[in-house]
Amino acid sequence: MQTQELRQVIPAAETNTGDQAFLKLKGITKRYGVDYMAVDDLDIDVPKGKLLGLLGPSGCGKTTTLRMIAGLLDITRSKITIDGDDISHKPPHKRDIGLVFQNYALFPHMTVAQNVAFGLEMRGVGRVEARDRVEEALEMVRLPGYGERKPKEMSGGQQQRVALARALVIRPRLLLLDEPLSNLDAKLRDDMRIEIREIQQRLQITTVFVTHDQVEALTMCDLVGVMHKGKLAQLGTPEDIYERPADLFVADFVGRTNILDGEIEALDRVRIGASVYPCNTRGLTSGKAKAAIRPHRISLTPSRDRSLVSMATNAAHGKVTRVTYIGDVVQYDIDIGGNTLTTEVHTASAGHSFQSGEKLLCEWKPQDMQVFAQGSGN
Amino acid sequence: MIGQLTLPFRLLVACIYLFLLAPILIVLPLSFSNDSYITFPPESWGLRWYAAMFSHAGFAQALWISFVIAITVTILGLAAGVPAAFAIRRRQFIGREFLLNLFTAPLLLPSIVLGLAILLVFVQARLLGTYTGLIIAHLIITTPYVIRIMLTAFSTLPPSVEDAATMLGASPFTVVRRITLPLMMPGFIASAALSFLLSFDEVVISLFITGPRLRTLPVEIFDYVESQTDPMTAAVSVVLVAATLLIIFLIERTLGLSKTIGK
Repeated sequence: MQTQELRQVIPAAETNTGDQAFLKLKGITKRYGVDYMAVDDLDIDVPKGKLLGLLGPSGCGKTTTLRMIAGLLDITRSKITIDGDDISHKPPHKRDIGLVFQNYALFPHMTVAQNVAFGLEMRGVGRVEARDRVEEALEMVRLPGYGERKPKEMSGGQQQRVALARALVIRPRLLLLDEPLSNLDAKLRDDMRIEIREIQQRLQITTVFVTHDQVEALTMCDLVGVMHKGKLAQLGTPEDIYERPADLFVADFVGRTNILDGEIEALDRVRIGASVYPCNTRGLTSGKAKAAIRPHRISLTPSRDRSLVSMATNAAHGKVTRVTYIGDVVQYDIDIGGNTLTTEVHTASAGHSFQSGEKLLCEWKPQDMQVFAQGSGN
Repeated sequence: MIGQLTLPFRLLVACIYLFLLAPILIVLPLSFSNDSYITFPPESWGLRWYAAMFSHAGFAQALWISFVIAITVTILGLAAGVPAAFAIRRRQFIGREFLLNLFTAPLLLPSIVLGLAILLVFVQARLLGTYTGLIIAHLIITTPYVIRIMLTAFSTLPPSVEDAATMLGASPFTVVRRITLPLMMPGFIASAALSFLLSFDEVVISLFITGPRLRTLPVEIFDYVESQTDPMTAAVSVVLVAATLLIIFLIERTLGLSKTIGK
């Protein structure tokens, strides 16, 4: 289907502006009981047409936030505006928001076409127009001609696409996706990830996507908000989140990371065990600290003299304690004087494979070693 | 699966069916007897006792009374049981478990104990031999079933479908009308049918509280067999079995139908 035709089905991108905030969450708070803050004073702006991922472990408040935007959950305190329209106190059925649920939530007693047409019927769209829009929406999710099926006759992936068509056919101002991929198997999840992202970009529809899967968040989203214990730990582009985590929690939660105990000796100098390493202390000059290094940012070479390595590179001698073959990478656990570093080497590029007990040299760049004050983000 | 049943297993199933159906196999031929007393096999055949049954004032009146009571009990039982099941399943409140156990406790009591207890209370309340009394007594039997069935119906309602309808623009009333009620329909039909049959067939508790002027059909039959030995009760039984089968058949058809258009 052509982009132009699609715009006719669901025109979302006519009204103005590039980076100005379209969805504004201001001080969103959800309190249960006297003092349990499920969501604590969240501020997020999402520009028009962008996809925001809310990423975090279960219980971090991301789904609570989504349900408050949808209006399915009362807000303790806050203001939510879409395109300047304050919807904080609108009932959910008048918010004009599309929501796709984790379990699809298709109506089992209706056909696929009736499911997709339901929102149009609620809006009083005429029968002929509704039929055309339903068929176009089904074409958009690559299910043309499936209208007469019952949801139970379809696979999980197909049901999820019907749910997506049903949410989009009403041309909502905002699309919410609540862990839409977590009930699908791994292969299908990869396909759906790409498909959802393509549709979202084609329609330029502002979207909030809740997930606990960092791969989904990093690969699909324009903006990622990492949530932890009801608070926004960091909001940024996927690259910001991965390369410049704001605190230890984000560094640890997003991607795999070695975390080593140490002490900051001076600005950008951390002592770990007996050695002092140049690193990024993010302005800190003293105190107990945790240092984070990604496993694949450590390169391994057979043991040689430290003086042969450039002074601009961190290096530590170590001994392989465990070798784990994962397929695309080999994982080596390396003991560097009391601390264990987990490292990864791509199997394709592994010129040399190491054996358990072998001595070698680990090298990494100072900027790949992020140092956080003890207890940050916990 | 069915093709793999072994011969001994088939025989066992056949025996169980025979055991369950044996009374009907005796009663059905007996109802077409023209004899003046019960003999099996009958010596003469005819529709004499069917004719006698329909002209027997006691049975006709009892049938009407039983019908009115069963209908009333069904409606009131649903009116009480459905909201109770809804509250227990959907709302969080203190004493939820306690209420559930309280409401379904009559399921565990033998009817004879329940009948005696009801008798003692009804004597005080002057409810013996009244419509009100019979209806209350039958509600005590049927409502726990309604609550049980509706609890299951509420918990098999697929999660989030109501929220999904809301997000598509349906008002709370429309959500109930278009989504909740249609999906609960099998539960409604099942509990209504069960209520009706339980009330219509109820003997033990009714025996305690019916009076000379207000007798339900099962009580009338019970009394009749005690004093008479003619085959009219067989004819009555066949009519009752046929009526029950008709109801079950209708349910099967509607539920079967809703399964093909639903789920």
